[in-house]
Amino acid sequence: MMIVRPVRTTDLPVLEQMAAASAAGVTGLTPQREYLFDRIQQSLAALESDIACQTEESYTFMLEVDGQVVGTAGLIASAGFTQPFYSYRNETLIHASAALGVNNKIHALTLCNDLTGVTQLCGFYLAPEHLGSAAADVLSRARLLFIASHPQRFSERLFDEMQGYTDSEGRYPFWEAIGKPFFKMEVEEVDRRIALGNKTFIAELMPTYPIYVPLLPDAAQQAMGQIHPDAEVPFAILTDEGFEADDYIDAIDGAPTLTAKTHWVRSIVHSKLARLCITDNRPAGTEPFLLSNLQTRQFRAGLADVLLHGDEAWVTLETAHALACEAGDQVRLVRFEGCAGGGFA
Amino acid sequence: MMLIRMARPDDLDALVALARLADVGVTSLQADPVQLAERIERSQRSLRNELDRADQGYLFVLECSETGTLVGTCSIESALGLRSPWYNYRVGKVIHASPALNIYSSAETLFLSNDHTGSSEVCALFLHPDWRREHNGGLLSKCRFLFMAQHPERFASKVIAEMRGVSDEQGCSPFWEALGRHFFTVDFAQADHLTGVGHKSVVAELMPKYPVYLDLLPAHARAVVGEVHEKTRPALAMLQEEGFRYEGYVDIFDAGPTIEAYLHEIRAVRQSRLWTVSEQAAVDAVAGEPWLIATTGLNDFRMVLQTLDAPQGSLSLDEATAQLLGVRSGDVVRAVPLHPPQDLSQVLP
Repeated sequence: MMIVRPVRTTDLPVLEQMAAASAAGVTGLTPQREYLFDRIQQSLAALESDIACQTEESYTFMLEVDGQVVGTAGLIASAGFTQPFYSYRNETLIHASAALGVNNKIHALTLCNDLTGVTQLCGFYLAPEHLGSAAADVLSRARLLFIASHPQRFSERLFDEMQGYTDSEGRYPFWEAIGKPFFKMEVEEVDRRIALGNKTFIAELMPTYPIYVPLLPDAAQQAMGQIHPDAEVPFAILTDEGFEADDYIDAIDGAPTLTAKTHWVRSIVHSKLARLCITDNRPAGTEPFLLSNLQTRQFRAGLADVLLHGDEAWVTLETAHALACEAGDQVRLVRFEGCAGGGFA
Repeated sequence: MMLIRMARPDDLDALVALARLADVGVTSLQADPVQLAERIERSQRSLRNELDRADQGYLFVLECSETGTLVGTCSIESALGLRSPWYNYRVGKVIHASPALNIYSSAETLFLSNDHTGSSEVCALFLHPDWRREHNGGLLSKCRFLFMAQHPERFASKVIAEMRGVSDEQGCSPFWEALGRHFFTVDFAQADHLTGVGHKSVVAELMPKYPVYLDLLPAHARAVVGEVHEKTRPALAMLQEEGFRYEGYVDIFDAGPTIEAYLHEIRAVRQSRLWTVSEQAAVDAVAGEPWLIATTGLNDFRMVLQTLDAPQGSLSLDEATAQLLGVRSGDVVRAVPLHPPQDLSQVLP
């Protein structure tokens, strides 16, 4: 069975391996032992605390498949809480002259901090052999059930940054055109510095005036809003959840930033609470559901066959154990409608 | 002999013919009879002081006095941008520095500006290709400074000149292709024409209003910012000789430089002075140099070029020249050497 649970200190070695294997620049997965250790402690502390309103908490979850840890995903309660968070906002400017019968729509990018205070989905990594399975869906969407059960810990909007498009030589055309003239450094260096938690240099070096998109080289224009092939699965899952890629792009690589209103996200709005009932036999007429308990420290989420009968969710004992639940506990569940990120294993 | 005088209504046909020869890029001279007639009218009314400063403009012509052929023209606008906005890009600097990272980078940036609002402009100079010889170019260009020196109250303290920017033989401007084209879906020649017929502010409405980072433009577009068209180099040199300087302002379409000078610091204004005419028989100047000699009137402003030995006390003119200028012995003229003299003692009192 697939189970998502909060990270533990004992996960440090596996988290390190995942960070090393993940693409550069994934928020929350900087391949540094001290950094990852801190993230684990932050997650433990956040889950331990009784939080009435979101501040700088971050949460890290691990996905186990049949007892093996194969993936991780995280949440940052408020982006930009201690260091400013930068994005480019897509803007449309109309340059019109009635006298000349001209009406031009001009696409411009404005550096902004709009996503400050918004909850960020981050640190998504799944072992490649599981990418085509339901594991990606379970891992990504388990976070959404956690948000649904603990809304006071999160903001009214959510966002996730996708990994950007790179050319055949591994360069980001967007960075080459926009970033490099101002930063005079390679993107890896920027990612490294951001990961170390110092973003002041972005404010110091980034272009402050809007960028007119039509003036950019074709390669940079084409890279805007494009995702890396590795990001296709997370992208498909979140767009299926109702996230949209229209408003913001990443300030470094031009990749789309997906945003959504929290209460419009499919797994959140369609999830419901039910009372867990345990049956020894697998009952007839079950359907796959993504379900979670309502705990924090003992949070569990997983994919299981459930017979939903009124406000009773009938599951096997094995499922109840995996969810750290007993009969009569409240659970949150949402129908699992196949995976957005590949075939249903 | 070549004579500069104010344009008259009966010059219209000759001016239209002349303007037809002008290329794209001489924006303020269009071969449009209605527009040119209006310009002549405006010049005459300006001379009579019937117009507001905002509308005043002066149109000069260069004539071959023997044949009466009109071979060149130039203008002064008294005050720019007081009716519709006058636009330039200012090539500014934005410094991005991170002391912690030891990074310091200077980004050249184009800022849309109206900074030259109210300045006077010398413009619309065109000389027939067959007459681009001897001192005709200098005569045309610099006549305006003697006029301004004599009537400074009619002009602003700052004088500017827009120099034609780089374009290829097809009239295609690399700067326009990289910038303007994306905002204004016509070609450069058409935009240029619209500007020439007084639609510059309309065109400017379509141009980017936020600063544009030069580093983000293609190299071939960056390379022409502040550069003049090959054919404009002599005109640029002539104005530079008079003290005009590039101060970072460029045209919003072709990025040609706008050069500027304070009126009282223009060499021909500063060094010109009034002389009393003494008429005498034509004598070949021995060690002479070319001088610009202008009358002091408005409607009857005239200017010629004559080679003179350094004048002492009064300015000797031969009869033909005096007649052409309409002056007699005892009258006063304003004169200055065509080029900055090596020895200033010749002109400074």
